[in-house]
Amino acid sequence: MKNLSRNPDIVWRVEKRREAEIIKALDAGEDVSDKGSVILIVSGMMHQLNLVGGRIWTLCDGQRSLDDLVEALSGEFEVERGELTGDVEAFVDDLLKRGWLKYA
Amino acid sequence: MTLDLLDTPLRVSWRLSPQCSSAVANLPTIAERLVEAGVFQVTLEGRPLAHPAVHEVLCIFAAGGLRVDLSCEGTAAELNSLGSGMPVRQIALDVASCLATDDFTVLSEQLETIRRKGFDPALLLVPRHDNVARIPRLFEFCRVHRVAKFKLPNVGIDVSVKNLSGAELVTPGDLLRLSRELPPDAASGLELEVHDLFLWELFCPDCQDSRSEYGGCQAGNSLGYIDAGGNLYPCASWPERLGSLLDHSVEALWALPARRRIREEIAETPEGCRGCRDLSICHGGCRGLARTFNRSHGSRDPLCGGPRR
Repeated sequence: MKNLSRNPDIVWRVEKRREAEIIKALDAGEDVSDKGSVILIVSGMMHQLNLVGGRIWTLCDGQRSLDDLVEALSGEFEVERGELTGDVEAFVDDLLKRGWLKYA
Repeated sequence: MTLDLLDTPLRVSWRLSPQCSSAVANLPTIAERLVEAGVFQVTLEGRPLAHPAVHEVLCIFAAGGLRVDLSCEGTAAELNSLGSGMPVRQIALDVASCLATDDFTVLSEQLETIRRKGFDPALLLVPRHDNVARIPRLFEFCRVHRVAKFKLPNVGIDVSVKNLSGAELVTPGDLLRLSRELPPDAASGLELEVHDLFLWELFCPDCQDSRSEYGGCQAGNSLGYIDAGGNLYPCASWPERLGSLLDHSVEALWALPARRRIREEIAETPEGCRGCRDLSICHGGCRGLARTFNRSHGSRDPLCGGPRR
């Protein structure tokens, strides 16, 4: 299976303090889906990814396939495997369409 | 998704001129701190090309993957220092001195010198009361001389550069006069980078949607400013010093209660903007200038003529 890599024109970083706060909130059972932890600048415009989106983005280093992403995330988030696979596929598909990710 | 408080700024402007009060030996420390902080982009203002440490600073930024823009006044010292292959994304030629002498021949020669060194220069003008009416002529100059980009940044209030009274700022009346004289296609074909919403809507009336992602004043969040002494501020238009980058990291200064309080202040709706139909677009505009110069009008952006109904 082909590996996924990030568009090298996009600059990005993990907001470490924010990420720690979000993980703490997640552990406390709060909904963190609208809280950003990764910042990207795409064509001069700033975007944010939430915790799961940010983890997927970080893992797309050209060394991992879609299956590898699901495998890595299944160890981090307590989600049923089929649901996780569907969510990852949908997210990756969206970023591929935007040109933010590509197959290496 | 709303923009949360960032760990450190994403874009920083840094005043770097030969008369910098920071010792040359200190500048690499500041540059390294910006790299460590994960800043994406640095704009070097003033006359950075004439500064003896500029090459060392640029090397640090290049090694750290930072994107660097710099401004240039077009002096011989700056243009001689500009080397082909310098790790700079863009050079913006400040046209203020040409406007003062009204000598555009010099400006075209400066542009050609920068081009010969392998760069595609932009033009830059800090819009003020005494120069805003000249902007259409500068747009025309850009078209004739194949300049693709024009930058209209915010007015800095760094007292070490100039002590502003507020009378220097563009007024709503200036904008009204300009709007009457501005040809409909004045900015067509130009890539504009406009800080102020009220200038932007004048020059870009057909691109309202492109500002839909704007979430309000970014002073003290994604923006920061460093003065010539190495002090970090929320932005060039906000007069509150957070601390020295010679003594502290960017992360430490961005984690201060003072920075949090500034962001809380920015999050409040200015009194003078209440009931305005366009508040969701401008979010109060330039909050630093409003706070400093327009408290008598409910801390509304000084360029705004009043709440729109």
